[in-house]
Amino acid sequence: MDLVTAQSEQRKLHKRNILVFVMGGILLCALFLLSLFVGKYPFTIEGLLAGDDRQWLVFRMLRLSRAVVGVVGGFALGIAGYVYQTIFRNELASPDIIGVASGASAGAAFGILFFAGSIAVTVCAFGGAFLAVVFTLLLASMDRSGKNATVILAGIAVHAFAQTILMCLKLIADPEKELASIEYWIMGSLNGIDGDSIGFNILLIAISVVILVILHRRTLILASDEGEVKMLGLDANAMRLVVIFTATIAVASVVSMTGLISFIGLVAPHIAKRLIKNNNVTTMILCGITGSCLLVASDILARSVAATELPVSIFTSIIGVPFLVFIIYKGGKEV
Amino acid sequence: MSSTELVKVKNLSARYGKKKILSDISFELKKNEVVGLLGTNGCGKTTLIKSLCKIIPSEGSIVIDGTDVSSWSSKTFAQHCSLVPQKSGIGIDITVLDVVLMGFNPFLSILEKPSKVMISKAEEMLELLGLKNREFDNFLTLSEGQKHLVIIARALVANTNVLFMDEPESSLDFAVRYDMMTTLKKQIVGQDKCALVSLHDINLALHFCDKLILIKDGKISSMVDVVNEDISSIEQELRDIYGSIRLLSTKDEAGKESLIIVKA
Repeated sequence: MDLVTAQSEQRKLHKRNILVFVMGGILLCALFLLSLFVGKYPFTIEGLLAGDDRQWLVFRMLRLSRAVVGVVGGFALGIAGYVYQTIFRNELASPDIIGVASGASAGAAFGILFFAGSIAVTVCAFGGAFLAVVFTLLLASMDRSGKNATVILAGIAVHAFAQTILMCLKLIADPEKELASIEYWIMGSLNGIDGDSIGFNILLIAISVVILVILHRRTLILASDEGEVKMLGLDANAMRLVVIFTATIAVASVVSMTGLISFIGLVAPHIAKRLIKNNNVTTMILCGITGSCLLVASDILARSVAATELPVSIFTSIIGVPFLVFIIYKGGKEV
Repeated sequence: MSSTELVKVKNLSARYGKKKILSDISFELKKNEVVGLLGTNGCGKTTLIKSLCKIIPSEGSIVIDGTDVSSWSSKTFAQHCSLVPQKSGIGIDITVLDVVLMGFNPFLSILEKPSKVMISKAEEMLELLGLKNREFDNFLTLSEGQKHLVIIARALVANTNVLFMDEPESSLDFAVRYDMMTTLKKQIVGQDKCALVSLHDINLALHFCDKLILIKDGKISSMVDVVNEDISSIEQELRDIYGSIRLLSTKDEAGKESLIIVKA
């Protein structure tokens, strides 16, 4: 390829990337607005403008908080998935890989059994996820070699332990009430999110995402061998722990609000990386936008296709899988 | 330490578990020197380079630029020394240019990104190593030899005083490995830098290196001054490592004398 062709190819790629980004942004805005107006309790813009208290309450407590959690949660899961896949150099890696999901489930089950109210369940789920991450990273840090495989192995051990706790809690749960609540929580839903209790989680997600964006260049370096990372000026072990911990805190903040949401952390980065022909910080942000679109669209379907609300994870898979297959089918990719 | 010495290694030893791999290694690297590290498979060349880079723990003293490196952070170390590993572990989709720009990381703060000057230096280095207009290719789609050249470019752009290279010629073809070593020499000689290069290609070592460190069973078997020693003496030292070999002297078109090794 001569220089002129290379430069024009580069310009074409750049234009295409901008187009993908703009279209992703427009799609997300459209889904966000649609999400505000879909649901059991109808309200109108005229009613809101007229200052109808009941309509404002529905808008603020049911719709706005739900749409915001959809956007923010999907964004965090998409970015965390990208970080995991990069750092573990494994395209199958997702936030579940180090036991955060099972930790959150065990925590939520504990909250449902021993405390009352959705805030308590959120706090317990976050605590469970947080403890799972801490245990995983502590176990992994015992191996001084700092291999990726050690973190994954530690995650599998913590996952198995959290599953055991969850099973024990299910055994003592009342099958009519608490067991059903635990199962429903595990299936994941944006239903019943309390607008007043999500501020702390959203703040944690925002801080985590900002840190991950700042550390993006270093995260790419971490996708090399230990010696290389060290000779590129990074303390590989410390940096890896910081990045994994931050990404997992973002995931824990999401799942403690919504319950388990499968597939977004895995599929959003794959879709984004195939749409944008690059791997830089814009790719990371597009992974977040893709995650947001998937979660908000899934939530709209979850509350509109049947008389009763369905678990959101059903739709994250139903939308995500065909879209991913279509993109893979459409052609191989180059960076 | 004299002003011409950049690296001074004294009584270095290293082990994997209980097995001792290196013992009592001492040598110096001076400014403007390219020093070859030769030895058979498994003799400890890679372990020595990893020990010098503090990638694996070792005993003994390593002094670089007049300072003992034991207290240096990874960042400080990387500001003084670069490494070309035997094989890069990069396992993600990333452009060639982004891989080369990683070389500037030790000189960037956490919020800084590579400047335009750094980007043009990276592009120049890729051009020097024969990878012009490949900067936006996916690193993973390159051949092993091209990947290796990208990793060499990444080490060279860092412009550190000391360069460690572990078998940089291993996946390069005959012409490219000579071009690569020529580029390397230009980056070192006259720039007050030095390089320690582990090599399997002895002809390449005899052609480009000023000195050779010969390793046998984890110890230095001998140090060869390629420029000043006579041919029979070098031949004798190489025989101790490689068995029955012969060195032949030849001249290129410019009349420069070169040594060639043949199995006797």
